[in-house]
Amino acid sequence: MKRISNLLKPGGLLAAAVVSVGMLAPVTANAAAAASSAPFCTALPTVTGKVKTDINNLEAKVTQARTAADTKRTSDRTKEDQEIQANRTKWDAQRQANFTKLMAKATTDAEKAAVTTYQISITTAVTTRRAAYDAARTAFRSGVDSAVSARRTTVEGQMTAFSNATDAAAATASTSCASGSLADAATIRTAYVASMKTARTTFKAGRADDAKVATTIKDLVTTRNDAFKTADTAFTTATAAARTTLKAAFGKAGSSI
Amino acid sequence: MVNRSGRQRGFAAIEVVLVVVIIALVAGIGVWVYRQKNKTDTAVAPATAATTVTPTATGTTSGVDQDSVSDAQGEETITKKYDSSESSNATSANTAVNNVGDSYNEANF
Repeated sequence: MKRISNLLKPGGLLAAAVVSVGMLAPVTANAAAAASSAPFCTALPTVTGKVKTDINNLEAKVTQARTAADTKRTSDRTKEDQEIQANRTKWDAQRQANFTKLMAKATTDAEKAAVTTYQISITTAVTTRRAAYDAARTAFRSGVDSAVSARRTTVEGQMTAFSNATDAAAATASTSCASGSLADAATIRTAYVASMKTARTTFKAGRADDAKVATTIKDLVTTRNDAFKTADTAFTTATAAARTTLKAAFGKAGSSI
Repeated sequence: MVNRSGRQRGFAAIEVVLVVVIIALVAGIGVWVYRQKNKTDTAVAPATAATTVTPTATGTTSGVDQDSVSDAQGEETITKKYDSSESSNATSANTAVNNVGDSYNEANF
């Protein structure tokens, strides 16, 4: 049996020292962890308060961006309507000039009546086509408004869920800090970070659908343009019939009108 | 200046001239391409504008037809011009929404 005094020999002494340090190391490490994590609980109210403020500020900017977009949309549509009205006025005047010249070519009452009928037919066809265009445009704008509104509702829910999740993570960490020992601080921090990461990842995943509104608008554009084409076809048919009737009324002179 | 091997350091005159010529060539090609593009653009512009010019009233049914076609085309052009702004207005707040998700970085807690 080795005597305890043998440990005092140089080699034994070294071994004893290593064993002692090894036994004490975990205790020392735990103490260090608790000491380094302790500031987490102390700083938690500041951290969670800043997160809350930042989220609120950024959500306010979303509201501002939406208001700006709504204002611009209204302004753009007003400009579009004004340009359309100016275009219609311009071509109405031009058509009227042609009708006046056509009437001047009419030499008999029958021809004059035919020109009047022709003018009424064309004017009615134009009115019908414009009404179809207006309806298509109105449907398009309503579709855009609905798509934007639906998307905003979805995003609103996602922002609320995100904010609620960060609040819940803060509340849980705060409760844990209040009831746990300093040694638990590292665990509390890990749980808080994980919850905040999940909240953010979930919110970010929802952003993938943000661009889908643009796709919906493209579809609405196609639908509207198809309605324009349908109105154009109906218009062409109506004017062709009116033209044939007028030319017939002018007899041989029909080729000159 | 002469180095130890007896060769002169620096650029020979011919090298400088070559570099200047190359730069002039590249610049010349750039200017030519730019002018050609401008020529094309100005050639296209009047053609586009011409479609909006009101023709003289002829007092014929074909004149009336042409008025009606131009009327409709003008209206469609105006409407389609605003399609891109409808789309950008609908998605312009997306950046602000994205920023909400960047309000913190949990790694810094």
